[in-house]
Amino acid sequence: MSHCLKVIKAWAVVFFAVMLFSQHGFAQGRFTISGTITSGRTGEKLMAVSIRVAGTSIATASNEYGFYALSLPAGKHHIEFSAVGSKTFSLDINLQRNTVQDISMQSEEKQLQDVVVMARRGGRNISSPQMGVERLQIAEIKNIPVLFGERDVLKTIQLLPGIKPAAEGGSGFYVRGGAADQNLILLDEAPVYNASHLMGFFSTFNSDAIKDVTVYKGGMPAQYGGRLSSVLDIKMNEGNNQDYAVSGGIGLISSKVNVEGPVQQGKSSFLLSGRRTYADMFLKLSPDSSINRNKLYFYDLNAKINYKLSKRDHLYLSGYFGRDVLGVQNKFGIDWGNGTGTLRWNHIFSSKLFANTSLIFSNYNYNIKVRNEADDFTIFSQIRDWNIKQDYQWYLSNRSSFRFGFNSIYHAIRPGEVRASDASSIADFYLQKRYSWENAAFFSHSWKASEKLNFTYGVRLTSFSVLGAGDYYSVDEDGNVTDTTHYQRGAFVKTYINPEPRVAASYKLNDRSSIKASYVRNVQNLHLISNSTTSNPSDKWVASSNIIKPEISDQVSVGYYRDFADNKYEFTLEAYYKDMQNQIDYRNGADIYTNDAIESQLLFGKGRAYGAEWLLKKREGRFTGWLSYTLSKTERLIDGINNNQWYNARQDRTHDIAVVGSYQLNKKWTVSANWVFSTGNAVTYPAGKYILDGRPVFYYTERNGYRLPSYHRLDLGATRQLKQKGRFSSELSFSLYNAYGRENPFTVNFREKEDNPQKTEAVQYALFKYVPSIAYSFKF
Amino acid sequence: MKKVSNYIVPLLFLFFLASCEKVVDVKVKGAEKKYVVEGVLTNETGKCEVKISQTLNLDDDNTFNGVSGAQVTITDDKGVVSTLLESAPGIYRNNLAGKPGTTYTMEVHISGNKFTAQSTMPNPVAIDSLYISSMDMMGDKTLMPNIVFRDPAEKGNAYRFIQYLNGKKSTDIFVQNDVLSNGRLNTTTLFQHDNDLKKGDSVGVDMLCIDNNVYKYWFSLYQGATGEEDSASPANPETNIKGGALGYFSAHTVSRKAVTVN
Repeated sequence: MSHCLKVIKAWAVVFFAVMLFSQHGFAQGRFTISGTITSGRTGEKLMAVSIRVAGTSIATASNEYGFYALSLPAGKHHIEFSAVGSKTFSLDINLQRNTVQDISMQSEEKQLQDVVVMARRGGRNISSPQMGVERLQIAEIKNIPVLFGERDVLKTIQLLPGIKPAAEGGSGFYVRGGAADQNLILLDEAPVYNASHLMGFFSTFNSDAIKDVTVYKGGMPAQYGGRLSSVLDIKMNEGNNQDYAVSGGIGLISSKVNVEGPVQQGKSSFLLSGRRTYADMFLKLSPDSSINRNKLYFYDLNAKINYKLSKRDHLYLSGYFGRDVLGVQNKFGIDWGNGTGTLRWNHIFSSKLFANTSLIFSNYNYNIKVRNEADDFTIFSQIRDWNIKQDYQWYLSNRSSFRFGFNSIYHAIRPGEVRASDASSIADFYLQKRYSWENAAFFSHSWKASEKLNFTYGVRLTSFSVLGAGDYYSVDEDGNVTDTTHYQRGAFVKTYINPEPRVAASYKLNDRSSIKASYVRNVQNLHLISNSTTSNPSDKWVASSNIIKPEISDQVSVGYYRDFADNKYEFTLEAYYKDMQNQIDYRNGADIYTNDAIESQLLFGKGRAYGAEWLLKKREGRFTGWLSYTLSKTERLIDGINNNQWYNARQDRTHDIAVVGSYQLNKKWTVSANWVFSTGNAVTYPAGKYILDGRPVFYYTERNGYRLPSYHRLDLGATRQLKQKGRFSSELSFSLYNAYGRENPFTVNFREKEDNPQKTEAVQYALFKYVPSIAYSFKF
Repeated sequence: MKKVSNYIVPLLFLFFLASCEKVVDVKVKGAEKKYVVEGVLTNETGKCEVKISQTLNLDDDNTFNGVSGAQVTITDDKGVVSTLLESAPGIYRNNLAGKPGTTYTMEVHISGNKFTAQSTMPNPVAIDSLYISSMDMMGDKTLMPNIVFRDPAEKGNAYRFIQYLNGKKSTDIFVQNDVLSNGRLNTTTLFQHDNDLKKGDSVGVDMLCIDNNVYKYWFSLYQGATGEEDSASPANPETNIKGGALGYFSAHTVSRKAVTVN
């Protein structure tokens, strides 16, 4: 218990230090204008609205809850508010006291067809020290052609530099050399542990329910932590508080419907969004009972309610529930899915101090049912989080703002539980439940040192405590358990404390260009143990333990940013170097499903990744799109793999190119295309073979010493607006995935030649060749 | 978990029909030759055999290239040494029958190399019955053999099943341990990967009781070195041989049954 007290005490000290530091003086003769910015059409809060004071270099942006604050000298000011898809709002004000001014922005988007303009007026914020970040709005990705016509944010971000798909057509992704589990995926602040449906071909994020996606590849702000390589912060729509609206879509694979409207006009609203795939409906058409009784579908439900309690208080309750169901008659079934819930309370203490408190719940589990000749059993596994987050944003002056708070998460993992009937070959079996408590306090200061020089610096201090009850092990270097220690319920097995410094600076070269540099340390305490090339629902999350140490990454990056041609074009060049400690891999022949001492099945090592990323983007006009190129290297060094030499990680792809474009031909038609190219995956091929037990067996000498052939693909899309009747508008989208039918190898396997078993042949498998799709969507 | 993929993979392929397969030309770097030792001692007389060969290049024929001139012995835990004599190139034999509960040490000397391995012969477990069942998989009725046996009360048993179809040995690898099924009446279904059982076929099954290191060898071979799995990281199986050879040494018991499909 004394250990527990110590941890709490450490936090208390940090917290009060932060509070104390926040107390020092206010400037004289200045007043603050603050308020909340909403969309006039829907009443939803608008984040990242750019706010500029005319005739000065004073500028800021609204936060993720639409709140803004500006400190200005007393007197008359002309302030301009501008945002993507909205008309610029001008405000003339004579500031004589602290003033609250809520802003309602008029939408530029009249109908479905006019979503071409996506410029952030006045260009992006080249002076902010934040780097390695990309923000996408759903309107921006609408026209990008995708597999099966199913718009998907996780697939779209893979077209950005530094972000690569984990597998063909999949929603899994790698960021700057990190593994798929090193991405922190947040849906309304709740971590989503398995963001994929149907073995990864779809993501869990129904684009109709999503407002905004921000991905951080580097320089993560201090309020984020827990994963090594990226943060993907996804915000759900809030719901229209002005009027009821219904939208939906019918595609080959799925249908969806979205309902939103006011609960109390202008004050509160709700949103309900659902999606279901029906691949198995086609199976039902089969007269054969062994086919039509199979199940294969998934669904998603998103719901959100927000309520304005007072001028200073706003409550949001949001939830997500999704599930995949796959069944082979009644013989085999697997279902898996995430559930998340977030309750948030925004409170405006004063014109300078904004606070948010979040209570977050997150759950992922799967069930497997097997009933056949010999067996009748179920397997269950679950990871569940309870999470509280307190976040303060303090706008001290136009030169200085602070962000600080804390986060406490209780993780409960049930790694695997088998329940079997008496007649089964297997007996009930339970892997030990694992508990842990993760705490973090963060603090950061954004400081405008001069007109040209900006800093953001801070620290995130995290502790991770492994808790009992349970047995913990000592393991020798061959993976044998040498000792077992039992801990009581609630006992502290081990606590890891890690400070994570976060530093970034920007220097404005002129009005149109800047350079930036940053250093960030990230720590990860939950690790996904996966040996599969595709996302598997039964991939296993394990927490740091007495043996599994927190993964740590240090990343430095530098960048150059430039806007061209009246901010119609923007150019970004970033380079990074990342060092990763305590990386985890399987032992050869590992069995992770029936082993309580999972550590005995693992190997540990380190990684490094470096690269450069170019992005040229056109955000405005009839033609929009981007060109991205990444040159990178990712390597691993794991004790016991590849003769203890550095080797290319699977996600190491030297070159990676994406060309994305969309062109509005006329009011009715928009056409789009994207082309991607990347170096083939690093793979392991045999060096030879031998005859064992009468069959050829392959002989390997190195890990990932070969490359699959290069990957490239062209996708085409077209969207046709249909006739509008009153409020009702609709459109048809066509897409063709892999338009020139490139057979991109998914795997290359080796086998005996069919016509001559004396010889060995290599066989490549390609997944998708010409996948056309059509989808209909409507809105009223 | 392999049981799970037995179901998922066909279902996904049914769904994503577009999957296509093509033979490609792959050039691999060669490697230095390595010795391969496959040592087997059973509880039956005349089945003690150690095969010694060397690795082949990938474009060589799949032919066993036995290595002659090795000194091969198997010693039991009382120090009784049996010498195996070369009966064909690379094949060394002795009439020794192993006794359950005994730990055997295989020792191979060849061209200055010394390879040793230990294996303990488990107590025998007999097949109670073997029968054929049918299962509807994706519209096809698939016939599969099932082996029924009682796992002993004490933990730590492991099994390997070898299937013979009309006398021809199947290359499918079936291994199982008792972590989940200790002490129970087991029915193990041999899922068919390449074979299509038909009426009139004769199906034979050898059930080998193997020790845990040998189980690990076959399990890791199944996972990573057959060239077929979509494993992210193929690797050589975990051998119990010390001294740098590929292969394994297994002292195991055998129980057999055969059945005709009708």
